[in-house]
Amino acid sequence: MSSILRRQVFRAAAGSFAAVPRMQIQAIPARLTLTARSYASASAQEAPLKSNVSMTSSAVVSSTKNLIIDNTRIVAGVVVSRQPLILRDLSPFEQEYFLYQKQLERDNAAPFGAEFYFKKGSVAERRWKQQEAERNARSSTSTSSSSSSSSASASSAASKATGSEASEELTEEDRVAAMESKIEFNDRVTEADRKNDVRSLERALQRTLYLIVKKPREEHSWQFPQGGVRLCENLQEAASRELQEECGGNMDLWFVGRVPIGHHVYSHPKGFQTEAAVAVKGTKVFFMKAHIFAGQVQVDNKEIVDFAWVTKEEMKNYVSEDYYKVVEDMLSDF
Amino acid sequence: MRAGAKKGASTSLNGDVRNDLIKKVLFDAPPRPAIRLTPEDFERHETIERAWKLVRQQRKQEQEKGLARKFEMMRKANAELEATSPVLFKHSQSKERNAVFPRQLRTLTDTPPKQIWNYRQPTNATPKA
Repeated sequence: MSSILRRQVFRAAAGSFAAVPRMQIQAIPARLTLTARSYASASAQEAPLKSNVSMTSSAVVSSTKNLIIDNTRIVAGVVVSRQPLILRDLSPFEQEYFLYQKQLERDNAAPFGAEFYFKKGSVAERRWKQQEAERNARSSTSTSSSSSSSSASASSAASKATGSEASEELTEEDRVAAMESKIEFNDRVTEADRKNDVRSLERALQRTLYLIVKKPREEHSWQFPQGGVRLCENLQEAASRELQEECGGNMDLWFVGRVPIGHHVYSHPKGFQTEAAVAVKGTKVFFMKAHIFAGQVQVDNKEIVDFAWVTKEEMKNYVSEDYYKVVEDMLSDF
Repeated sequence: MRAGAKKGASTSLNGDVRNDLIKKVLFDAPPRPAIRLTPEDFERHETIERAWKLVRQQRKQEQEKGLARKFEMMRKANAELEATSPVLFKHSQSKERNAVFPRQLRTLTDTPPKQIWNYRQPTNATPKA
């Protein structure tokens, strides 16, 4: 009788489980889909790139009319930056100081029992003895005490020469160990640095690079990419759209928030033509900030004819003086 | 039964004698003689330390100044935007609801990787190519 009861209960339970739909899995929060998108854009080679800008649906943005307030055209500009990829070079003083601190730490550290630590006759023991010999040679050549940084620099330069000479015994084990521990580091100065290729994104890896584009005109040709804000569009969307129109869709971008980082107000020279019916006296550009993670600019040869990725100092050579004065405070020194 | 067991032999792992040796090397080693600096050496050391602190302070101040300039630019731009268009300003002050940091933000390394930059679509015509 208990088995029948058990079967009934089991059937009821099975029925109740079957009735519950798989609702829990469907509700994926928006932010997870956003991150999934950025994963996809980083890995996929041919997928169209999407930035983090949420575009207003096409139903709302019906007009392509430019936004004009008080006879001034509202324009969204973009400061696209490629952040540094490697650490900065150490200044001479920094290098000396770090060497000095290393020496101090070694002097003040607890005694190290090499006899106890290393296995007798091991490769590690031999390497340690070699390094000890180098260190002793270094300390003996220094004239003043070890706490003097000037002597540390001279002796560290000398030790590199003596180190190669001190290793007289190069047995088979040493050579094998040397080959095993050989790690090849890539050059910090790249090909693009040597060729001074301003269009390359592999140049000046320590510095922040900013994108400037060249317009097909004589004066004020180089500037940040910019374009008019349309009706029913906000600054971030306008900036993203303009950048895509002018520089192509082959850039993995991330816009830093919705807040503009700078602005530039200028009046037009006489005889400036606009499509709008209202006479336009001037323009107000609001700059938005963006990072580039992958990809490259593709000139459309209509609005822009050339581009360059330059540091803050190099921008002076391209951009007009007045523009640089307006724009320089937005940019990072390093 | 271990004759002549050392003090604390019962605490060593499985009564292993090697652990006593390790403890002896670690804790019972004779202390190092204290470092004695001559007055000149001490002066040199102090000067080096002061110079380092000064350099770091200067660099930090420069960074702070740069940030202050950036913020001032941002503040002026936002003031201008507020005066120009309340709609655009309101949107700029609102935050994206589920904003996350981009995972592609790279940490700085000493040396660059083999493929430094992913140019993605190399077949497209660029002035570089």
